[in-house]
Amino acid sequence: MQFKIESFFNPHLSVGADRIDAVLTVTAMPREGPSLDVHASGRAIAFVIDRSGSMQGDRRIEAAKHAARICINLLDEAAQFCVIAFNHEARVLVPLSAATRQNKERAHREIQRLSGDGGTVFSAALLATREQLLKLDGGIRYALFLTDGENDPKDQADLRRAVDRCKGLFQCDGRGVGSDWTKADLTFIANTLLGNADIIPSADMMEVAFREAIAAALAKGVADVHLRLWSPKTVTIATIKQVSPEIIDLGPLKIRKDEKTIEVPTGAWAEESRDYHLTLTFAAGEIGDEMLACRPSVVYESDGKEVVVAGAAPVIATWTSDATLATRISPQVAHYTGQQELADSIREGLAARERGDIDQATKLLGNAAKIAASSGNDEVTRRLKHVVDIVDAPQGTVRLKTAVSKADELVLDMGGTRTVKRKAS
Amino acid sequence: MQRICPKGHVSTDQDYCSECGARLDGAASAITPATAIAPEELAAAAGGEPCPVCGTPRVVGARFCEVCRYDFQTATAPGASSTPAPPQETLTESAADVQPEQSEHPTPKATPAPASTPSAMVPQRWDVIIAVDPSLNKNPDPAQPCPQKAPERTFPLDLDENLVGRRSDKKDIHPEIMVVDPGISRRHLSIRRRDDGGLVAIELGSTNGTSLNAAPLEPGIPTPLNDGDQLTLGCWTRMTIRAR
Repeated sequence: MQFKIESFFNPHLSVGADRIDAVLTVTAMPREGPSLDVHASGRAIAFVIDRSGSMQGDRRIEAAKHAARICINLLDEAAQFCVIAFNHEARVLVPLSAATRQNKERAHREIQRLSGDGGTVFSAALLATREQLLKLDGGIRYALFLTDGENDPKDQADLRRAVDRCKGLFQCDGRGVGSDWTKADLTFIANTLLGNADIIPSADMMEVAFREAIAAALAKGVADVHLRLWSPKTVTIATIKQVSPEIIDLGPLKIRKDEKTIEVPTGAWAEESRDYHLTLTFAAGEIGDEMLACRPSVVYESDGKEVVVAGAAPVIATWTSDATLATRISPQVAHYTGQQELADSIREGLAARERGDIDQATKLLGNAAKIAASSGNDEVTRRLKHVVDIVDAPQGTVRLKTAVSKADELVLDMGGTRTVKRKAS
Repeated sequence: MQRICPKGHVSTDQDYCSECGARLDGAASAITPATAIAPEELAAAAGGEPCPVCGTPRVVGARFCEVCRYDFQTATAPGASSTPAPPQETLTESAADVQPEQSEHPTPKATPAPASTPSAMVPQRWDVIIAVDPSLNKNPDPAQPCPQKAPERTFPLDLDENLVGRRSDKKDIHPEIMVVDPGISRRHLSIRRRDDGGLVAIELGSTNGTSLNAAPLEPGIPTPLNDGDQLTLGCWTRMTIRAR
């Protein structure tokens, strides 16, 4: 795998301006010639399945068992896997082992025996998963975490500690089946562990959801990629967000390396492209001054050696009295400002709907429908339709649906931060 | 080589000061055409491209003209009737038989067991595909309508014994292969694996019975199953055995 970094921004600032916005596009593509770094040190996949009493309802436990068994059969022998079932305690059904026929057989037998009872304690499940996945030295470690319920309120402090202990060691996607789980907990786990969180609205969608998550995990080729940002001491990195494929504030994840360098963990990469939005602040310069604000690079390990992809994409600021130059907005920055507005409109629109402010909710979700349509964000449009009828997308005219289930609401709530890349004009 | 920047810092970098970022004397500016915004993009960002019908500049990213509703995407004037969508192709029974539902899911790059191993050494693995086949529903009961367009489901047969039936919490029956069909008994059929890896079906004396390739199975007698065999049971359930 090789990486390419591009930066997009308007370098021209007006007199007195003390900030610059830039979009960084990082693209991973196959290396020319033989590729050695692709999961050379292996891949470990954990299935973490809630088996609390509530999973017995709506055929959830059957669907989870079925989906896990289907996915285990998709693994090739080079991969390792483990299965953890949890309620108020965690049980390792299959310890980390190679995906051979015998081990798969064993998994089929163990999984099929599962039935639901007991409570829900996430911390126990995560720590057991950590212990299994760490048996793989290096490589790509991934967990698919399924729950249908709220974490035990007494576990909240332990959950924070457990997630902290897992941070940087494995990636974890969170899936909530039904609508009785808590968005905050699942999102916290997934975001901290560099995965995504989403709803599986009903048990019959479990198999497809599992297949998609596992397919994405198996596509990853390089583990532990970091975005490294170097800035002069006089420059502050005010915000750093991933803006594509989904908006995630990376601020809480950033690691200061020295007084000029921060690093942001981005997890494992497949052949893909992700965009980041940086806001840099500094003291305003004089007209004609030209200043380097940030040198971005990508860092990862290959065969135990650190690889740095520097790329010639520095973010530069220069001050000008030419208003036409300074008022331009980079189309990439403008695009993601729009996608952010889309996500905000959905969040605020759902909140307004929740407190019964129908007018405000209609206005905000209408604005969301308009931005989603004009930017070609079909995924968000699809999710919006769970909550509103779109009457006229370009005008932003929508009607709130009257019968909206909790699951429909979560479909929109969990997906409102999905973005699309800017269409080439 | 160290250099002194215009603000008096000692810089270890040659282009921009490693302390304050100021461009060093004589260093080339990194503001290149590549960094600068392409003119055509600027035009678009400024709301360029006038509408060919009314001349109003297009709003960035907008599909329709704000004023006259001209469609920029399909280049159709307002009010013009769009071309009717081509008729949807209907899949025939046989074409819908095996694969199309599967291909919608991204299949990970997982390869089956290496082909180099002689097949005689490695026991065959099996799946069963369960489909709703409305043509099997000879005496439709309006109270229990046959599900329309139910997707096919694939179950792995990787256990020594797989019970096919209806779930019953009351009787604590949890079949490995759960089928939703009112004509299926709780314990309907067992698909077992022999030591050599081959499959047999055993009809468990269900109320409505099971047919293998249209011939009724005798209860209690193990009958070998082969790739492609079809079991029909209940009101509308068709099960196809597939080797993998």
